[in-house]
Amino acid sequence: MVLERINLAKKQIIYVAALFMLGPTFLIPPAQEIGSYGWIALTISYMGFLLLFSLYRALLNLAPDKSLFEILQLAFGRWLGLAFSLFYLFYFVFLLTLIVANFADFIDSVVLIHTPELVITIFLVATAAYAVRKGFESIARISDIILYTSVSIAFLVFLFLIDKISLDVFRPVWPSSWSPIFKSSLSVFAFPFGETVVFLSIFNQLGKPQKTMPSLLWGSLIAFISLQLVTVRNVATLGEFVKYSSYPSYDVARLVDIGNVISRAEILISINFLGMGYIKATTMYYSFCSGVAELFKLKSYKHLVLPVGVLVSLSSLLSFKTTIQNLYFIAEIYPYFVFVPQVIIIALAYIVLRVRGKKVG
Amino acid sequence: MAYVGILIGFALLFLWDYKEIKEVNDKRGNIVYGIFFLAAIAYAILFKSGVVTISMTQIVSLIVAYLRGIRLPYYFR
Amino acid sequence: MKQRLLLGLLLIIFFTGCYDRRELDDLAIVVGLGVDLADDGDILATVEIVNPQVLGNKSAGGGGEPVWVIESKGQTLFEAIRRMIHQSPNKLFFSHNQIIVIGEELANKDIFLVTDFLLRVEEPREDAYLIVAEGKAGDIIRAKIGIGSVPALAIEKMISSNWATSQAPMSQLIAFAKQTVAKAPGVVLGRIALRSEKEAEISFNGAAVLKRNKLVDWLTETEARGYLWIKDQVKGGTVVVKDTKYGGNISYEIAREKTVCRPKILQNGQMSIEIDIAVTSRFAGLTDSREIENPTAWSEYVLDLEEGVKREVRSVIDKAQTLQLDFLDFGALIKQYYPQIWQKKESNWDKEFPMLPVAIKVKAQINSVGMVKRSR
Repeated sequence: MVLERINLAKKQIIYVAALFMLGPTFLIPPAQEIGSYGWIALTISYMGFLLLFSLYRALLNLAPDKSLFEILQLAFGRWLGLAFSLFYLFYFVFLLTLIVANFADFIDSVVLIHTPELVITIFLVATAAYAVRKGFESIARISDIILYTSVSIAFLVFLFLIDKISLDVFRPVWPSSWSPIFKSSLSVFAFPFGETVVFLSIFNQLGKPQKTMPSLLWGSLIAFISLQLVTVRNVATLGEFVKYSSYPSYDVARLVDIGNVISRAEILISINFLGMGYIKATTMYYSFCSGVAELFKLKSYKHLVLPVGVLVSLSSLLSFKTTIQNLYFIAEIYPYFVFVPQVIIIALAYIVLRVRGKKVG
Repeated sequence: MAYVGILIGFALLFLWDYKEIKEVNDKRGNIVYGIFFLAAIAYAILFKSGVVTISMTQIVSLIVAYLRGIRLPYYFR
Repeated sequence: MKQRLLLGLLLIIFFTGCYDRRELDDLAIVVGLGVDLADDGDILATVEIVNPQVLGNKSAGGGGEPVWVIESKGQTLFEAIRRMIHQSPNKLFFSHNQIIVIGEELANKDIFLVTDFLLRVEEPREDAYLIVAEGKAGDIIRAKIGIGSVPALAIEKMISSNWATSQAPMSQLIAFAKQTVAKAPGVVLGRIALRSEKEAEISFNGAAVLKRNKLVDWLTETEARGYLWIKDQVKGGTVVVKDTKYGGNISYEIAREKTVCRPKILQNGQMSIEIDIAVTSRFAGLTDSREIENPTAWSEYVLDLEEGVKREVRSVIDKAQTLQLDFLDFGALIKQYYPQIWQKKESNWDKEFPMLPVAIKVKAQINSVGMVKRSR
């Protein structure tokens, strides 16, 4: 059963996918803890994503026109399938909470310092809820303007800083020990790239997977290139300091100063972050609400939006007390948790469906 | 006072949703909505009164830390 | 009807403005910060605040002093700055702070006492200039200098126009942070000094050498220039060569410069540093007796310039090696190009650095004689 048909142009799917992966990672570039080797970790994790992508594609080829929850029920039977589906829903709403928490934390600690976090969170969630109630098409419609502005802002900041960058920090090119790099590629893999599992749950609403999967790939390529640009820019400008900066992109933009005319570009970075994080949050929000509606066979998802919003706002307020806690969570907890929904369950479903043969689809 | 504010806020939310609910007229949908709505009210009141300070992040952290066999730093408690 | 109600609600929300907005006349805009060590070991902060009303209408005149200096004490820099609220009607606003001056005594103790706060708090800019004062930083901030009405901005101009002589590093806070987190053994910051108390004469030249967070020595103008040659930061300035053979002084103006430093393993297996400097300059004054049209004289001039640059670079290397402090960051160069060798050397680098052979190669070019070929 398809809850809702979403009519999107191919371009819009690409943009939404790209923004979804860029999201908050644009502000806190991935793998900042290993400094100048960040680009290596990013590349490794993108390779990992390409493998994951082929897994997703193979799974959708086995059961086209089915949503993630239907696939799970087909593969694991009714009750186990239901349990896994609920787990996925939990993962979606959890991720939404994290994004909202990141947002509020950033705005509260850098931009609007004395504003209570509650106010910021409520406004963020309220605007997201408004967009989600209007449907996914309206979310996708603003994606192209956000993508164009964000990527051009990132590129402009890079150009503005061209006299301040030094490429010597990338030496020695080959690291002496690889284990921290692999560890941080795992967290990069989990943080922006693996989260595309969310798209599996709304793909059947978007149309034929043969048509939408290439868009996802293109979107991920845009995201990878932009992230690589940001990572290299930050390391080249801040050097080793990038490891200890809470918001490296923000710090980098603060250094922009061209003849005292173009200076203090950090507000551009905030715009970037708000735009991209907004797309990510609304996508997660939409997939959670429509997932609940689909799983419980409701006629509409729209009236779920507001109560979910309240739950998410409160939970995100309680999430992190400090950035340090957030960083620990991203490094030590998050990758291990999300490996289950992102890779293991999907791979199991694929194997089961493959072994059972062509009964489905 | 704060509790009255919370209740007024939720009443507004409900009014907002009421038209939608009537239009769709889905019994199962109403039950799910009711569950979410009550959960939200309960969470809001508990949050305000400070009884509950747990969030999804903490739950996930505790479970993952238990399964990995690592000790969480003190700032998670 | 419903839309109108919604619009009304939205207007209520949006017309209330920012939660913690601050208007210009509620702000005390800080343009200069000086930090000293008080006698009892506390931190003594001096800030210079501009009065925008006076700056705005210069023609009206007589609107009071353009700047205002406050001094305050605290156990930490943050406490000292917060305590200034007792003296200032408005809350201090640091986003436009241009210079951070560290007093000599504080620099002798620990400069991290200042920099941590400035990096951690979101208001101050990371590209403010971080300089060390000979003597008290408060005196520098308080000195009334310049034809401009705001002394701190005059000092900022003094620093940023320093490229024309290239005799002091234009050290910014962010550069300091980059070096200290990279565990550089030494950091070089610009030096500022009050030359004469009465006329409030300030000079910005030379540099302070810090062993991570403690001031260890000063660099003279020539040594600071040498440092800038090595760091590829010479943007201009003069090289003066005293000519004993022909008499007189030759001054060359530096037009362009490119330095490449590379570690190199010598034939006997010893590590060394090779500094390649390519400099383009023009004559800015010839008082010797050579004839400029003469080809041999021309090549002598080029050699003289190369010698002059080499002397400047050598002076700072000698200084570093006598101090036994690698503030030129040659260790990082070795790490970049020979990571394996560096792993072995790292622990013993303090002892090895004074013996490190450094080869300086200067390739000079004179591309202009100026408006006249001869003046006499």
